[in-house]
Amino acid sequence: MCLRLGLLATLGCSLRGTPAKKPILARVDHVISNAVEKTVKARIFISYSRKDIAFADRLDAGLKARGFDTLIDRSDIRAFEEWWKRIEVLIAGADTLVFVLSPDAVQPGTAALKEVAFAASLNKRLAAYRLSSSRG
Amino acid sequence: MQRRSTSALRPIVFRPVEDKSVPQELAKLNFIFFDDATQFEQSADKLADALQTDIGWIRQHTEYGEAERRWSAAGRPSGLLLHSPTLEVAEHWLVTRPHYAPEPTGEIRAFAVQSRKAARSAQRVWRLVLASTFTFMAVTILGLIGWINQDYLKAQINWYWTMRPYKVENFDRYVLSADAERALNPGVSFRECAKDCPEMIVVPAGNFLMGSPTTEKDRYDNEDDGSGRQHKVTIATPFAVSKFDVTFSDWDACVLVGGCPKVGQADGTGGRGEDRPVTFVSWYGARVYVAWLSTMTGKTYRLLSEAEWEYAARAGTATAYYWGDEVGEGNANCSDCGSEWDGLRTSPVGSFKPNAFALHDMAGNVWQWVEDCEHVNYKGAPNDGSAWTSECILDRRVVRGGSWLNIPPDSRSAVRSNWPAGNRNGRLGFRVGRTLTP
Repeated sequence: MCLRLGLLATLGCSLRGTPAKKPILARVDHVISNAVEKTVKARIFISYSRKDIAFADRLDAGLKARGFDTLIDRSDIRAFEEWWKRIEVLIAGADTLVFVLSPDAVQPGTAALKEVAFAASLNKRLAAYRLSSSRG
Repeated sequence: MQRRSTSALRPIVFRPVEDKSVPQELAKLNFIFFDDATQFEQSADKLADALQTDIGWIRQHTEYGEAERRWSAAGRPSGLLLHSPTLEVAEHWLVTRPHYAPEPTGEIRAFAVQSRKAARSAQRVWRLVLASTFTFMAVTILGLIGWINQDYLKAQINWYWTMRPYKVENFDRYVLSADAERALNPGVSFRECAKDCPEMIVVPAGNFLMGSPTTEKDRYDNEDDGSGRQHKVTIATPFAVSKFDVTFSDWDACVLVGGCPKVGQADGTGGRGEDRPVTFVSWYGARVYVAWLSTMTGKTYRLLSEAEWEYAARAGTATAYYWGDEVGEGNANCSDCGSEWDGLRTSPVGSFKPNAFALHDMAGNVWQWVEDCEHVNYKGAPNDGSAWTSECILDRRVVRGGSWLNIPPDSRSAVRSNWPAGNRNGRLGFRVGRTLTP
């Protein structure tokens, strides 16, 4: 409406509390997305078992070195309500969750599995890095 | 954007999750990598490629997901919904999911749908506001224009609702055709309406001496050319004069359809009555009436010129009165003319004998407005019978014939008095003339 009605509508948009932005048509969306793809790096949440922290750190460093914005939880105690809320916010803000997949990480009731389940509920893209059995 | 990375990466890094050790929660895994300690950098590169796949679309997913969470957490206020143009971008995003990107969540879809609904309702409200504003403005402007032009509008409405129907009903069929008008002979009378308009009499062309000879009894000194001579006038073509003064019925018909102002009068100042001459009419009022009559008939009704009036009054006589040199008894209505209305009020029109042109009340009863303005005498007056309206002394107009309250000599054919054009009183009336097409 803001676009179609021109000047008066601009006034109307301002009245409604919507800032009268520079119009963006859906058609331009492609162009913008492509530009985003080239300049924006994915935000990655790394989910892991405490036992695999050495690999998780290495993976974190490796992704950071490649320009990614990584989110990794290094807190020792992972049980409090506030901690989980913070994790939820971090996962919600992440583009992809990378799961360090190991026998320890998939034990029922681990924080890592809880994180994966939450990310799945948000339809986040999920990637798993499966550790070789020798590491177990 | 969709096709590039996924198709390229798929054979290398993407595999369906089928290992039994992978729990159910991971069924949605999009990519899976295998750790090989010696190949970490290579596999990290592949992971990096996979993570950047469709990042434009994925980032929007993240942002809309967060926006939806903020909206839900805050109790779904409309202020946190998506607004245009972000909303259009989000809707476009919903239908352009790359093949290997995860589905938008139901929450995000619902969020977009809700945003669209809110936008539509806001649009409706806005349209309503716009429409109301424009309607209000239009009505106000029209109202203002109407108010400013209310006289014009009233006149228009009156014309279409009242006056034109009256014209059709009362005049159109009675107006003389051109042929009938040409066939008129002097002395013939005609009336161009069904009722309530003056009956007209055709007066012949001719010439006469206007004013009085110095020998006339009780004469005033404005009745000659300033040196004692009368003023010779020649009227080249016949014209019509109303048989009587314009009556109250005539006038009221005009008032009734909105063509003339109401006239009022107190008792003892002439009186009222359907068949009595209309009084309390100013010269301007008389002009309004003849203009209205002209509109109704499409013919030229007008006030008489002073010369025409005296020519019509004399009707070929050269005596002081059209019945002789003495006022006599019962010839007219004046202060002392021997009639029952003397000095009391107006008499019904046609109460006395007419003159030789069959015109009644050309002496006494009411003064009659003519077109001309006041002059000291006839020096410089037109001699073709036309009205003399230049070199006026102020805005006074000539009246002729005397009245029910004036002394007998004021009823002489040559008497010329005058009043300010705006004056109205119980002694002032008028009669009409009509130009005839030769």
